[in-house]
Amino acid sequence: MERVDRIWAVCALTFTEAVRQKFFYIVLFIGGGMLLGSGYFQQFDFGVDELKFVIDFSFGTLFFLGTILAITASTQLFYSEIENRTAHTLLAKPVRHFEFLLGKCLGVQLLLLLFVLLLCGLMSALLYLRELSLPVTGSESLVRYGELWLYGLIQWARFGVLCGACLLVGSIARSYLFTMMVSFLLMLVGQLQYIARESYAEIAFLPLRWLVQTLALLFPNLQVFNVGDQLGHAAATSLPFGVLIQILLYAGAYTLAYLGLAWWNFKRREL
Amino acid sequence: MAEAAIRIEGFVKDYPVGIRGKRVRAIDGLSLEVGANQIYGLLGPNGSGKSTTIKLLLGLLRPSSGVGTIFGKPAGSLAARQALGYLPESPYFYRYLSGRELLRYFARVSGVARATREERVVAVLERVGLSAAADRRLSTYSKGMLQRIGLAQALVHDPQILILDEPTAGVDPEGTAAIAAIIRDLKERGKTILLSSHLLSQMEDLCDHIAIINRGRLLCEGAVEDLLQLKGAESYLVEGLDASGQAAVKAGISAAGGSLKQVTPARRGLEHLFSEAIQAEEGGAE
Repeated sequence: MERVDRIWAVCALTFTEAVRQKFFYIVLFIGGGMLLGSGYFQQFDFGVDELKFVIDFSFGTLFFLGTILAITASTQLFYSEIENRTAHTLLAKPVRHFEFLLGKCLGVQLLLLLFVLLLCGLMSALLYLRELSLPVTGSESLVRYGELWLYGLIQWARFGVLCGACLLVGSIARSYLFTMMVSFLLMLVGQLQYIARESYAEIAFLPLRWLVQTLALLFPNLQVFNVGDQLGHAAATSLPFGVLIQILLYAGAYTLAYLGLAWWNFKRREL
Repeated sequence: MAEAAIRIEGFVKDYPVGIRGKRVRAIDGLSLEVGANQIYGLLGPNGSGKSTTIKLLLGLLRPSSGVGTIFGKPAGSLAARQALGYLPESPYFYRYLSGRELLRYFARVSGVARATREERVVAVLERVGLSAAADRRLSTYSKGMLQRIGLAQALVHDPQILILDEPTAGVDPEGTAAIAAIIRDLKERGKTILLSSHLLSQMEDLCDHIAIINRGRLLCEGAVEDLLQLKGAESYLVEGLDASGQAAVKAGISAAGGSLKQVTPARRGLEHLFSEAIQAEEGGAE
């Protein structure tokens, strides 16, 4: 019980610190502005109907800004404890390294959950208002509102993977900038994994193929989370429930693996 | 034999420098023993290895060789850390928290039971004299207040041993005196205190045992009284003698087979004078 209390204490302080930072509000403000402005981009509509465009644009905003926030907040909130030496004071107390790391990760995830909830709420409200203003074409809604929140959940799980990766890099790195740059690089590698995995499958020499495929497992395939096309719009093919569970398990496995490695490094790190 | 509060046996700490694997030795075979209920001063110039020794005891660094124990438990272990309170050098805390919030946080992570947490926080704030400023943000605290809140967080889980790294660094004489008074009070309450400093006069007044280290090596160690005692010499503080009286004293010493080595006017320390002047001013203002 004490252990849970310690983790929760670190988590609550991390969250408090995070929501006090201007950066969070800047990202939130930009996100809100982009969603509110999405209706004015209709002239760029390439033949897709208006609501579909707004949904895609909103999903893109959540994906893009959430990624920036996840990496920046994870790096900053972890590394500031090392640089300001508050970690010294904390780890001189009966606090285990993994309790500290887990508390940090949960604090960042709480921040990202708030970000996702606020953006999904705004997204839903905007789409609802837009839908009301459209001429009635049938009895059924054109937007599957529940799926907007499902997309938020999937992205939140993806942010968890990024947070784990940042903590892993931060547990080794000696500077804030390095942690940030490498974390962004890792995210890019993850986004492009699907290309690499396709080309690995074409390697004829089996041992080499297995080797590179095994090494590729070190990086998550972040394309797994790009399911926006199957969510939100009434005309889209629904995302099967089984696939949703698989995605969440995939995110959970990578997050835990990265956290485990981060803990292993951090425990050995001299402060 | 009573168990030592802190025991260090042959601590060696090497740091790798550069990419060629060259190593610099920060601590070189250091062995110490701090008895229970002592105020033990770790003295040395900057870079002598005081903070490194402390970090090794806290488990923030790992020794290249040697062992440290806290009441018989391995240094750095959870059980050892439970018995320790630590004030880092130039402490930095979460500036957006108030003093009370900071102590609640550290009490919580230190495992102070929820039922007694608030009581404990209030008691520690009282002990370090920050009750009036408890709800102010740390960003508004002076250097001396930050040191005191640092001391409070070290005390909040009522540890048996306090490790204080330069507790008076950058603090004015008045603040220094307040911190010294808290440390003496802690000793009276049965705590063991290990403190590091390079401010010798403060350490002389405060510590009952000291160790002087330089370049990671122990130069000397023991009770302050024993170390500072000049063997076979005594000093007398005399006032009111005129020139003939002084001559008579010198003649008397000579006749008794002694030899007068030095005569200097008696003087107070600057720290003493400063404290007296401030206290007189504040006493007059009331």
